[in-house]
Amino acid sequence: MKRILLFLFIISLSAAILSCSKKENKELAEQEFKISENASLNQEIKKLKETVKSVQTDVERADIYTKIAVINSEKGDVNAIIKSAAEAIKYQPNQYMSHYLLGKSYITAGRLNDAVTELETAIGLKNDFAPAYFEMGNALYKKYSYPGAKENYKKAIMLDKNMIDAYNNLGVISTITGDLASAEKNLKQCIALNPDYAKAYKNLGILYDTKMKKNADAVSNYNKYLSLRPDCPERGLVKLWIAALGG
Amino acid sequence: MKKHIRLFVICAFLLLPVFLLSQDQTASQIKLAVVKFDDSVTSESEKENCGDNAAAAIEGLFRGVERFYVRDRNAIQSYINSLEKVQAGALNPDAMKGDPASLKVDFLTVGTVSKVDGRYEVDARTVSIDNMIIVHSHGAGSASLSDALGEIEWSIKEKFNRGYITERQSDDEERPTVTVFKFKDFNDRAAKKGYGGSFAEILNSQMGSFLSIAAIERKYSKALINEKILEMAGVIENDDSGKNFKDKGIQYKVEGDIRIFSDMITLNYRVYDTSSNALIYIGSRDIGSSKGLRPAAWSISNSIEDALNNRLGILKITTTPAGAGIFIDGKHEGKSPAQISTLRGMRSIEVKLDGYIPYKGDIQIQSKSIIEKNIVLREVPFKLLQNAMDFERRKDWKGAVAAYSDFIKEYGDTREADSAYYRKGHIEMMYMNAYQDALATFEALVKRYPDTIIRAEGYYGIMRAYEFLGDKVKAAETKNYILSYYAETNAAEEASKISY
Repeated sequence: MKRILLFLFIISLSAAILSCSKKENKELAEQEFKISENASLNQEIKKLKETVKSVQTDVERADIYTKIAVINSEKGDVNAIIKSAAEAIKYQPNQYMSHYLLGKSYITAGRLNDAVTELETAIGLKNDFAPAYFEMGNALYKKYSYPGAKENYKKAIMLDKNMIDAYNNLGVISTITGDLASAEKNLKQCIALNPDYAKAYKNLGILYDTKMKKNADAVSNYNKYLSLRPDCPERGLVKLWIAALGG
Repeated sequence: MKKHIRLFVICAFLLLPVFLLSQDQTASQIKLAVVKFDDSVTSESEKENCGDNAAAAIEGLFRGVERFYVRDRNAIQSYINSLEKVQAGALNPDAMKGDPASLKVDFLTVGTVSKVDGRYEVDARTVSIDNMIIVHSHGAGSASLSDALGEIEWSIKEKFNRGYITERQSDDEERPTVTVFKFKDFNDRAAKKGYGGSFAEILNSQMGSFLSIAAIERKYSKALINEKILEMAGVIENDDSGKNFKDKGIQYKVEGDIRIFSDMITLNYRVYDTSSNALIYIGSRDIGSSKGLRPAAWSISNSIEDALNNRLGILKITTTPAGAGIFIDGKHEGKSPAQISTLRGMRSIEVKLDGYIPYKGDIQIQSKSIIEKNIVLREVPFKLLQNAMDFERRKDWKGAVAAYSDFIKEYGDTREADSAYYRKGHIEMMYMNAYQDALATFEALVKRYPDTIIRAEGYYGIMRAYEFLGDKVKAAETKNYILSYYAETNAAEEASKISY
């Protein structure tokens, strides 16, 4: 009997404690959310949503929804991008930016065929828009269609010689497909463009470590990566790789 | 001799309850070992060697509470060594699943200490040694390590008992199995701050606190993916996590990204079904500062738990013919055939394919179940359009307009109706001199938001209707609009030939 009473007491106490901590977390989460509501990006979205109510023409509406989609894209809020870009396209179907943003968000949502369709439309509307080729490369990479991805990264680079992310992704795919000279060249190009571009050092490290068996170069690149991103999520793992190479 | 035997019997009789009681206590004790907490998540915590201190404090606490039996770390050192290798990705994760009989423990307490913007974030999780499901977890953040540990100690003392474990393990087979995979530091600011590792650990602890979810310890699941993955820019890397997780019985994985702005942090999260790699739930949460990481993890974990247990159902749609666009509550969700995770409740579905009459209907989605729907689309009866064209050929303009109007009335939500609108407006304007009617028809056409070419033709019609109505200002405005926004179309080419 005593045991049962004790058990019930513990259970009710646990429930009470749990509800207290939940309440605290809930309050803190709401508090943090309220702070974020005043952040500049969210304020900008709020203003644009207000403005769209009063505009007269479809072109203006499309422009505003595209601006909202751009901000949501920066934030990475996929649901919000899809919604705002689709609205923009409804009002102005031949606007490359909204198709591009929609395609980009479809990649994150895993709708790769839809992504390719939207990016093709964006490219059709503006064939010198390097970011659309870059995202097409990403969509094809996700589809494991590496030759197509490479082609698109190359096109992006042709249009924008400073598109560092395209060099990186081209370097990654070249590593995967065994085109090691191209991989090394493209990853090094990232560093030439920006010596603090951390992921290129990590990728070069993996290239030297796993493919080219240049251990000393691998270690120095891994170390450089850790010095640039000391708190990266995989830091424990990278340190282990360094240790395994005797670094 | 008899005296000795009598004495022995009396002693045995007196000691029996003590023996039985001690046996009972040992049997009900929670047998565990505490592993060094991982402090390598952030460089600051590693420098301070926080992991050892945290593990020692938690181990000391367990030892001080009767309901726990704590196996000395030295006694199972070889297992602990293997475990550390697994955590570091150097050994097969199955090495984490120990043999309770030989190790003499049923549970392991693992944890993480990280230092984020001067705050210690400590997470302690006790996992079942044979399936790596979290049976108790608690995390806390504080400016002082001892305060954070104090909160965890409090949770262990107050909450963590045999009844709690029994309740958690009672329906293991029913509960969805979930693991937190990774959170990518997405933009430059996020890469510099490196919250991703700490946040994944915090979220893991939060996920481990639900009774209705079987959260798999991420030190185990993470080790399932220990290959050297090359890092992409702007896209999540391809990996075998879905397959590997599925093989180990993990049904869902949570991953996401963190973006930091000057005055806000955005946490984007996604839940994937590992059997199909399909994205089933997606969300985004903004916070004001890194102090909000733990409350945000609480909030996100609640949304995910709710989604997996109460809110989501699956709709499996096939259509004849295939390739139709699927819209749920007006939102485009891809093409058929498709398996779509959607919120429970009554959902409106629309299925559209050129040349076919759109299907519209409602469907009841129930949580945790798959609703299958096969839709046979009916072809648009082109005979009606053909009739209208026959009237046109015979120059029976009234008959043609009436036939197009009938088609619009009957099949107004098909793409073919766009053409009917255009032809009707064209006839009204060019052959019936009904310019006002034509203007209304073309305006109705562009308000349907058809595709670019037809929309441009609609505006061209509006321009000409204004011209015929004598409103050259509006005609010129419309012309400029066509040239500005539909420059690549035939309508623009034609419009450019007319001066107002």
